[in-house]
Amino acid sequence: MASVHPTGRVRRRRGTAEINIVPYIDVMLVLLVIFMVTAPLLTQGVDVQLPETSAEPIHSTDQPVTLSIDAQGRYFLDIGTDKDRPIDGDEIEQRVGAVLRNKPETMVLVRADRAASYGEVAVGMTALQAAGAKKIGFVTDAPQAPAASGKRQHGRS
Amino acid sequence: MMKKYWCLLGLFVVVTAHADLNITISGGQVAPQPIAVVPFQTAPGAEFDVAQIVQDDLASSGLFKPLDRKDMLEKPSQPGQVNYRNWQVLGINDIAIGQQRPANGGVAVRFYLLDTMRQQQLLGYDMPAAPKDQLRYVAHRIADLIYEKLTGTPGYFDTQIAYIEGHGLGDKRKFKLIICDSDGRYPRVIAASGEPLMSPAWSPDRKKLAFVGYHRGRSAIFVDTLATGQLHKMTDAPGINGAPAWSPDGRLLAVALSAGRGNTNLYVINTATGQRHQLTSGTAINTEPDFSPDGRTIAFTSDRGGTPQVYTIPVGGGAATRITFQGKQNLRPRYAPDGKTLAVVNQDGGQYRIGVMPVSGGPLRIITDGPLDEGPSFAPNGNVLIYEKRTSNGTDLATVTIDGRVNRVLRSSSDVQDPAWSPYIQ
Amino acid sequence: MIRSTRKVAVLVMAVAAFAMAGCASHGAKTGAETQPVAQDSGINTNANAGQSGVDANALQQAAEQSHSIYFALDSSDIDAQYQAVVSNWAKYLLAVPGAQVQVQGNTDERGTRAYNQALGERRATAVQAALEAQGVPAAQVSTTSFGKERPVCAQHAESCWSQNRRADLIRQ
Repeated sequence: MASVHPTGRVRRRRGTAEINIVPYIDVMLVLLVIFMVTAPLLTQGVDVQLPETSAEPIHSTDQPVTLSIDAQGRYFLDIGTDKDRPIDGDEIEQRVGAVLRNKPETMVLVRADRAASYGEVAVGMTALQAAGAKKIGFVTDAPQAPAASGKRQHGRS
Repeated sequence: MMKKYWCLLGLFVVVTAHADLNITISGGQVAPQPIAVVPFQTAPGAEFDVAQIVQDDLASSGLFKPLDRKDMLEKPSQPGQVNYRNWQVLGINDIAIGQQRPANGGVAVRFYLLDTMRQQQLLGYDMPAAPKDQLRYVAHRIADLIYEKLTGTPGYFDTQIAYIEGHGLGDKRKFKLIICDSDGRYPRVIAASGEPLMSPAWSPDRKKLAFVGYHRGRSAIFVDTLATGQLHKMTDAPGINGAPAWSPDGRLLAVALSAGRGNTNLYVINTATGQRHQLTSGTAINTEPDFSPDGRTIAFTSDRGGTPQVYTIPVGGGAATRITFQGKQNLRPRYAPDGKTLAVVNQDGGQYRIGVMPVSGGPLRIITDGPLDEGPSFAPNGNVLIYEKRTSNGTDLATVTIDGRVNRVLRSSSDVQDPAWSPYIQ
Repeated sequence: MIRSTRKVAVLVMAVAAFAMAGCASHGAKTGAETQPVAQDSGINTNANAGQSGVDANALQQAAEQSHSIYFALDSSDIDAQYQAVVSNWAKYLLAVPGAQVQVQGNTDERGTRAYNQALGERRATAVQAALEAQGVPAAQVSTTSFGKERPVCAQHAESCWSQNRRADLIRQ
């Protein structure tokens, strides 16, 4: 979702003499996501059903739900009322659960500030798993400007 | 005179509360359309959960899947308050919102139906203030409006169902004639008897109910004026008096009489004068008449050809034409409100099931699964039938869409049978 | 209702007895075509008219000992085994000219209600005809049909259905 298309990057880069490492970064990020999703599972025993196949089509009408975590470790959801108010894990579970009960295939995205701690992200993801999330994605920025997105996100909250 | 007869009969006319029919929906073979009916904002003095009835009505049709209230991410009551993303993300295309406030000694209801994808208003209505105890009918009308907007077919929720409740065996069996709302709620006992009550039939103006009752084993056809509870005996010829059916203008009543001779024939009675003329004759059984919506033809069951089959005959008299040829038997025809389709009870291989067919004859399409289904009666929108279904636990009422896709069952602790769906209120 | 009928109408309306005098002689000949003269007028008086002696009581008991006739599927033919029932009732009705019987036709649960009401009427009139064939005046026998509304057995099987396809003879 958030990974930048390699060709776009190729054009922006000045030369072609170097090895294009961007695809590898992409792959690593995906691996990271997988590890982050499965790590709490292994340690805390939270049950999550992983998608049976990675080739499942995403319906164009399925809007993703985004959980934002700011530098202070506060959680925000882009659905429900009062979106600028930080919410707790129960509320995350309730709202995301409502979506997933009605549209089980909905993608849930996590946008964590890079200053947010690993633990805070893990707690947020545990809440998403408790809500029944099958697909969790990470919103990342291009490697050149890793902090920009996080800042924009905070600016809204 | 009326009153005297009424006591004699052991048949009493009352309006009492009664246990609701429990509804279960099953066998939906079509993906129901998601919808959300947000609890209406309620001002003090206007408390009544209109939205819940709307939601239950829509769900009962099997065509809609209302969103669970606890899954609502917001509860707006005006279009301006709606954040459409909160509904889109739930996959909800349509939401109903509204408000209730006290007005003119009653409660005024305003509601909107909104399309969340196009972010458009589909409906917006101010319902006239109704006494609080009538709010359920306002709710049924709202459900009708939403149903019509989203399916293109008029709704049928603001209607009533008459049926017979039976309990016990042999001559101990007790009978009640009951009317309830289309959702099975608010049942009112219209008549009760220690002898059979049968064949309720609504007058086209929905103000009267004709039915068959017995007194000391002798049958008679009665007409009950619902507003007053007045009972009028239409006919009590020797032998059987059965199967009353109203003409579309409400002036004639087609009935089946044996006149004490063992041969049941059709007669048409002028309800104003009591005059009757005989429509069929002979030694066969002729019964279960139903007027075509144009009032010109009567469809009925006859075994003149050896097995019971459906025939049609001009109301003024003439030759009867057999129109059913499928299966072993076909009985109890009922015209759809548009006059083009006929529902019948089809028997094949010992299975009694409901089928629908073109009035002109032609292939019969079976829409229920039997084995002992009977008594179809059309909802006034012509899209749904109510019928009775016998199971090992007794007799239930069930509804089915005429495409056979959605079924629901209305169950009581007693046998519930012989249903008649009311016309629209006029 | 039937129970109370049995209790209340210990028999024979004066009206009926009177009517009998004129009707009985030709009632048997004209059979079912004869219009019943004695209508159920609701006048339930004079309980002793026509009960002439011990004999009548014995006949009544004999008749009422078995008052049901069972039928085959889709049939209104009276099986030979029930001829005794018919003749017991015929003897009683002939001995007590003021006595009245109502033949109540019943069916099993299969088929539609109003159609079964008509089928039950056929069974009732078959029994009526059998009584008249033994000389019972038409005016002493009335018919009705409850169709399938009064099953004595509620299971959906032939064991039950065969009990429900019946005509009951009920002394009025």
